[in-house]
Amino acid sequence: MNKWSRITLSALIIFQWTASPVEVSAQETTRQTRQVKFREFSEIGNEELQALSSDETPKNFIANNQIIARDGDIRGTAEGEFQLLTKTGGLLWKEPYSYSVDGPAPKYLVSVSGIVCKVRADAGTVTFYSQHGGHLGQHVVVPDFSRTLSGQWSSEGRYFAVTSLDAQERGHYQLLLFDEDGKQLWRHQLQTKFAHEITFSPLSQWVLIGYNDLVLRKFGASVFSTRDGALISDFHSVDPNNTIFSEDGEMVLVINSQDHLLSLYETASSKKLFESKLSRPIQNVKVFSKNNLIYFLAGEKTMAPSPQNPAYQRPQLTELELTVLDLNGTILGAIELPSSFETSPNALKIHPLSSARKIILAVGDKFFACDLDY
Amino acid sequence: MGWIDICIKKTISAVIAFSFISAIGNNAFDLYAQVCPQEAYQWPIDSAYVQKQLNGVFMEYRKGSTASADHFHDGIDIQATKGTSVLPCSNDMTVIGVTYDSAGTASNRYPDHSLYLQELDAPYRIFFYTHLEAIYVQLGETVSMSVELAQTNKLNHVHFNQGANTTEVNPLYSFVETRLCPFVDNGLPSKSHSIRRSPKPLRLPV
Repeated sequence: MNKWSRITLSALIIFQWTASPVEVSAQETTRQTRQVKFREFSEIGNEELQALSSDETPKNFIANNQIIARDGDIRGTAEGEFQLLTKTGGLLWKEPYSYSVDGPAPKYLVSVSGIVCKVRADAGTVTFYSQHGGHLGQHVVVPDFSRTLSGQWSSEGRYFAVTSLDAQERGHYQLLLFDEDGKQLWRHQLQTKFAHEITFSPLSQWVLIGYNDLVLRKFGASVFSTRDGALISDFHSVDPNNTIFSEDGEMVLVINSQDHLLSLYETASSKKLFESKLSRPIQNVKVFSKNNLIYFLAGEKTMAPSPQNPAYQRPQLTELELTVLDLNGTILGAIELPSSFETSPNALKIHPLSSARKIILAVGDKFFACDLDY
Repeated sequence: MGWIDICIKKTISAVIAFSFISAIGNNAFDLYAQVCPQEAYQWPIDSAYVQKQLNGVFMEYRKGSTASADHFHDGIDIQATKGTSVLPCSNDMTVIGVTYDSAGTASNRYPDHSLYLQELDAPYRIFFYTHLEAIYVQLGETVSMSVELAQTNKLNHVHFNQGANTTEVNPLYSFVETRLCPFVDNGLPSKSHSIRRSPKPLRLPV
């Protein structure tokens, strides 16, 4: 073999050696960017929707909260009764209550394990009751009438988070976390951040509040560790108005609907995984992290005369599109929605019973399903 | 040009001027612009340039319940039949809070939603609306006065706060420019309108 043949052979071997990973990498890219195909949307009835909901975790407790008597005068009081029932309708306990007709009514929030937290914004208190009505503890969160007291149980019922005015600092707000026995675990001062949303991660390792900073005039979202109340992440730079955890809580999707921005972060490290600037305002999002999929509904917002009162205008969504991304932000598929789906922004949602392979849209009081192939 | 032509022209001018003045007289907005200060707020329900009937006023006494203390009313109650359009009281307001809630008996529940709006140029000015049935705007949206925010529910009034969460002020306070306008209080206080479960709603003249 002469010198040039040896060189050519070596070059061929080197080429072969370097080409192989390129091929593998190309195959991986092809696999990651597989296309998702949408079938036609078809209307489904309540029975079909009920059948899908039966796959969900059944509710073991039913909260029956009703007003029994109500003063006709808005300066009067309303009398009500709360009952906690088993799923078969057996009464576990009940109590009467009353409140000022024009003030906020008490809320009875029931955890999956049957612990009840009574939130009284009109009195500034939260009270915990056992499954059988035993008094577990009461906390004065704000020592006065307040319209801003709200709370939320974590999905497995271990924690109860409360946001309210800060009793110690006028005009400031606070976040408190309680356990299922009604014991306060920690309190975090939110300064001028007025919370509009409380969300627990599905495994309850984090609690997230969506807020509007009343002084800075910026929307934001803060993630706290449920264990010790440590601030883990704060997403204020993108001015988000909606945030969604992935199924394991390890990622959080941050949405700025007005600026069409969609960003995915690692929850624990706040590391940005991707950011996408989309062509239309984002209306609604659903994440299926186990399937490496993010669905989002986007549409142009236009103003149309109000059907009831044409002197005023109402926001209306047009040019609707349902798009699917992977967790790298790559677009896998999209479908234009029919013009019959055009409605007001709050009347169009991806239904919570949607799955990675079956997307259900709620359009007003109707439901439409679409199967996906990928 | 003869005197007949001059007469015809003057007549036409007089008719146009009369029509114009009549149009102004019938236009509530023009009246609003004449009467109200520049920084005044329009009424937060349709029709916004006309004074509304009040069913409850700021800081009037309200009875508490078994759990809560008696308190003073933190806003005003504006009479509105079910389905009345609810409006921003000024231009350039941002929706900073939306609460979806319901009230009523188990068999007859009805929506009882609330909204928080913040003035873009004066962030300390926050407005709260409650007893709403349908909300058409979204969190983060900036709206003008011509936008229908929501519709009222079956409670037949909108509770409206200027300021929020312990910083409320009287939206009808007449010595500042930032107040609801037009508003003329010709009513004299009477015993039935004082405190404790007045049998009739407090009515102020429209």
